[in-house]
Amino acid sequence: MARWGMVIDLDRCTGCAACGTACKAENNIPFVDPEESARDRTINWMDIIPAEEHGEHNGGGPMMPRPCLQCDNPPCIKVCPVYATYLTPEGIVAQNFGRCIGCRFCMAACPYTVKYFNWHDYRRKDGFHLYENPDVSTRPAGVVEKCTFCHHRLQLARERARVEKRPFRAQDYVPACAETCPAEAIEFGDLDDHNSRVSRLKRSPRARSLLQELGTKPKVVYLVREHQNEIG
Amino acid sequence: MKSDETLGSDAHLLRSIEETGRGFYVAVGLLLLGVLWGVFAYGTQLTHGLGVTGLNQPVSWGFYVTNFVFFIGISHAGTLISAILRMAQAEWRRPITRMAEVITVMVLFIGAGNIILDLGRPDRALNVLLYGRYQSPLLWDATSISAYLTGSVFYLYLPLIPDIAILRDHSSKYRFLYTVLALGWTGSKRQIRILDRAIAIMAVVVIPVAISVHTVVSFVFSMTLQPGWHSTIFGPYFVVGAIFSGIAALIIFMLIFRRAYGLENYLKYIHFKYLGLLLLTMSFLWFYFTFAEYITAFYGNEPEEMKVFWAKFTGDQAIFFWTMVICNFVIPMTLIGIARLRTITGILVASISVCIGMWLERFIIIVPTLSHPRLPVETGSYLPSMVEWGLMVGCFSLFGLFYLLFTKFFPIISIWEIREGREVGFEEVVERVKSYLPNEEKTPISEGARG
Amino acid sequence: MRAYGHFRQGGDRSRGVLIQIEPRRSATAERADKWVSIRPGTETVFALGIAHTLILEHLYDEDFVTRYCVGFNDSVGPDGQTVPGFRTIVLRDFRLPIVSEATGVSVETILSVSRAFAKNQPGVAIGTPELPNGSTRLGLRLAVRYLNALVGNFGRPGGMHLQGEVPLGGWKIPEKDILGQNSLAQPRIDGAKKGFYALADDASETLPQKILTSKPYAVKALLVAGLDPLFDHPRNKDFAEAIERVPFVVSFSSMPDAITRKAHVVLPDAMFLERWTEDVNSHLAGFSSFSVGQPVVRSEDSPLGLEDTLLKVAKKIGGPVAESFKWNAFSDAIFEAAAPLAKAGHGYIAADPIKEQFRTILTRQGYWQEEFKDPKQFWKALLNSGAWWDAGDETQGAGSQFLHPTHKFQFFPNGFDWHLAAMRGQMRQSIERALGLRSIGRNLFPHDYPRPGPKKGEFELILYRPLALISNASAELPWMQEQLGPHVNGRWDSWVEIHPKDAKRLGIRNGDPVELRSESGSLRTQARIFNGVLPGILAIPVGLGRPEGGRWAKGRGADPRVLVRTEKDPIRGMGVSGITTLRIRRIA
Repeated sequence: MARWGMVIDLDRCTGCAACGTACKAENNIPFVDPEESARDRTINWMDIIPAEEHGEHNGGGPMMPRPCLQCDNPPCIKVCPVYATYLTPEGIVAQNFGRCIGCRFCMAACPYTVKYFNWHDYRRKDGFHLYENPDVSTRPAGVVEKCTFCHHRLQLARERARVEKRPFRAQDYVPACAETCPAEAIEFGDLDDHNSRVSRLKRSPRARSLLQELGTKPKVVYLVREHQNEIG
Repeated sequence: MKSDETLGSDAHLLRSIEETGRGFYVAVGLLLLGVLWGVFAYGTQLTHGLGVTGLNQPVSWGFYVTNFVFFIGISHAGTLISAILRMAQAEWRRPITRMAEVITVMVLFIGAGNIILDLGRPDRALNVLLYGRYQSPLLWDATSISAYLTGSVFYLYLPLIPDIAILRDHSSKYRFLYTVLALGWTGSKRQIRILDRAIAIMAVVVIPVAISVHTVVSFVFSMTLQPGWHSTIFGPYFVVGAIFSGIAALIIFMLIFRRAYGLENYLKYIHFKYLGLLLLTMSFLWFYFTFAEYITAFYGNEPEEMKVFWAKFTGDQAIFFWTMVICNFVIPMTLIGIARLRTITGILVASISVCIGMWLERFIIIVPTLSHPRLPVETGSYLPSMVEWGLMVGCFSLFGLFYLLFTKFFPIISIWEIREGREVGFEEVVERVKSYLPNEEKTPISEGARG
Repeated sequence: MRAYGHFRQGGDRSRGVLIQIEPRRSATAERADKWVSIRPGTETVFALGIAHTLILEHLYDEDFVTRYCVGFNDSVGPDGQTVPGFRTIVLRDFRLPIVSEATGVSVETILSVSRAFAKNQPGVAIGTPELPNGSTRLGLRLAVRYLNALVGNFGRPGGMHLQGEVPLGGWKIPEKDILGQNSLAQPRIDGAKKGFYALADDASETLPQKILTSKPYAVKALLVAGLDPLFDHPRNKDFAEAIERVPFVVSFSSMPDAITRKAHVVLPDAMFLERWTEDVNSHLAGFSSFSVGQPVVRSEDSPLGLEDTLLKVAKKIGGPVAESFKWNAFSDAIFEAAAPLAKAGHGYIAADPIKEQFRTILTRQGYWQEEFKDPKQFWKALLNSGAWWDAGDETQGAGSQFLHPTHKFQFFPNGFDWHLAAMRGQMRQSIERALGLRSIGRNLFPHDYPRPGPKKGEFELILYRPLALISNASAELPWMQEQLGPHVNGRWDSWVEIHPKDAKRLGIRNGDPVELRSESGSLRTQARIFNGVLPGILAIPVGLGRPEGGRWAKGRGADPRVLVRTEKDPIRGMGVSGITTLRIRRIA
């Protein structure tokens, strides 16, 4: 069985946020109104965050995309009282919007702050809903949501392979962010396949796990920038 | 009909049930207003979602969780303190236990209710039973709190039976209710023996349950990896804090009802002095835990921990942190520690201060950690909305209202226990004190040594 | 951006080095190996400082300079006088201490950047103005070109390439009818191609004034597409007044912007996903390409594209106009334009990388194979892949890179000398000034005219356009509004970036409301503390603050252009925003 993972090359990444925008379009992520945004309630499954620590409120530093890290040892699933967030056999940390009771314990437990809450019903009825992706359910008020590695794309790819009467291949399944990245900085695939590009990149000496010391074993791995070429 | 003679001066304790003054209606009216505000606030929240609160990303927990921890903490006032005092056979407990036990039962409802208030989808709350995942500390809470609630209700009810019987025999009101609840109590030797035994068993059972309650409440935080939460000390720290705030709340209630129902004859200075000294002890214990908690974080100097640490010590949360230290340590130490200031007023002020301080402590545990997440580096902020204030006022009012209504149905001081104290207490104590002392016979030890 | 990814981690090549010279630490500067923070408006001097080092330390490509360049060394003019060459001027006028003083960059940094530039070859120097509608800064562009010439960076792999022509067809210049001939006989209303705007193709900057004064004649109709002159035009206030004098205004805007509210007829253009688009792409890769986009969403109420609307209008007019615009739909016009590509003798429909590599090799060896006999098949393939390109089009050899008749690099370009020569001193000077050039003898040379620096307590302002607001319509898009400035958590609103030290001194905290006041105007917005601007400098993003527009753009944020003076640009013809000094204070 595949173990899906992602490698983000920060030396290629330009911080343009195209991945985040593609993610919003793909996953029907509602934009919250400006007033809600001012209350820090914007939902960004793929957030663009500073890649380096640089003191409080100084802003800047290179930015990097941050999806759900899809931990192999996720701190969020252990605290969910109703199995609304759980690890699938293929290693995806899934979120069951229909069962979530909205206690937000997983949000408090996630060290990467990848979980987002629907403080209001952000689903739009004013025309925007006509552009929703029919493969992804929209979320009602009061539940937690997050990056699912575009899990629906995996299901679609499987179905397509079945219809075409051919075996399912790992490359049939790519999340929207990896597909969109103009700098080709996001690599996606099966980590258990030693020959896949993603698992080769994961073994690169530049590979780092975010907050590695926590032992969450993320399946989203970053390739750090090569040390600055020597200029003065 | 039995005359007042059997009750003697204790008939005074039934007056609050028999007579209702204007003060009562004013108080109920005020509390109802508070409750109404809370109901209105919750209505708003149910209609519009949790968005009407000041919660956000990343500060996803705020007043409700603070109140949850605080109220559950207060609940330790009752059953735990009463059980410990009973087991220790502290004679001065007699007029206190009932008040304490009532606090527990009332406040547990409200504390657990705050979790419901905090849910984004209260309509799905039953999913916890249908799909419960026992790995989640929230389920430990649910288990522990329901056990504690059940235990506490029994523990409140058992010593209430003889008093209900007195009411059945003396009161003109709610005769049917009392008849049913008294379970045919006649006060026979056998009944008293069984009751004593039941109370003793419940006291033993309820203590570990009570301690487990606040331990697992702390586990909600300490089982995560978050800076400022992931600490082994949290279990005992929370229990100590809970008893601390519980005693403070108990003192406040005792003083209110002493004044309202004229119980000066029952709740004397000595009771407040003893409870005050207990409060002072807990204050030192609390300070010790707090000190240990922060000194280890500071010495470890882990960057993520330090972000939270400095936010509390000098940052945006510093005002709450230092107010908490003053309320929880400086004020009780001054007002109770210095004998000259240890008046009823002094103890009352210290108790109120501890309640505020302990509420702040819960707040200061929850919010700074959430507003300083490891990622992203930006800090969050949290400003509670009117809905949250409304629900908080509502919760406190409901607590007061429940308590007030209880006193209209049942005596707030255990009549039979006071009476028992008068009748058998003296002899018992004399016997007991005698047993503490070295034996009067001169020979046994030396003879035995020689023999 | 794909090129950037390849530049950094191509796999088959060593990692590329990027040095960014900019007053503000932009997204590019963040990604650079080195960010050189420089005083605003002194980039030309900096480039010439690098040139100075390259020459002084003999780091330049002497072979290339000797063979392909004109004007490097001193020469003797027709009057027998010595004309100083590039080398002499640079060595004389751009000593490093002087450059360092002007730019605020240390001598060591200039040296190390110069050496890194010389060492990491092939490498290119690229220079662009701060804003898309910013000043031409011809001087800066020239100075940057000098650097590429000094390292011999023309016509070689990894260097500068002249992009080839795309052999499109089908679009003939229509025959002029009587009306057309009469119209063209009249003088241009905007006054371009003469006077100060002698070098400009059009001078929309003067338009409001000309409409208001009805000189040389009154404007009877105004068709506006692609922008909102009442907001985007630097003289938007004048334009708002002028628009009242025009009896017939047509707006093609798809958003309810300011001009649309004033227009007599609104023919909303389709949004980019609803319409046909075509483009001859210009990019850094150096080869020529042509791309076609087809509508991907279409609902019943999708409007016509602008081009289709114009075709319909032409049909109604009839006569020679209808004949000139003979197509039934815009897609037919694109089809006709693209058809010759199939038989061009070079270039292919874009394909997968492996096929592409193979073709490039073939093309370089001079082979080409016709892919499609049937133009319909070619069209279908073009629509499927979206682009045609000629990857073998990188014209080789330095000589072919220069359009000048000598096929050599001109250190002193004289292309527009004849325009300027005819002008009187005053006018010539003001044009030179606006372009960032100055006369040295008969030659023009890049020059940064010193601006009055900020007085005590004053700041210098720089404007920039964030990626999320790159197009005029971006402000209308909620998802763009949600990510205006991730580096300072900017969302749904404008902000001013201020250095932490300045902020501390002025008692400004992150998110505080502030008021900015310059000679030209004042503005209220919120502060964002950002160490990517130097102390003494403030930076504001451009693109918000629209008084009219769709529900997400209208009235959101602030337009910082009220703070800057309008300058004239002799080449673009559009008044542009300069840099200004201003004061900031916290509003209680």
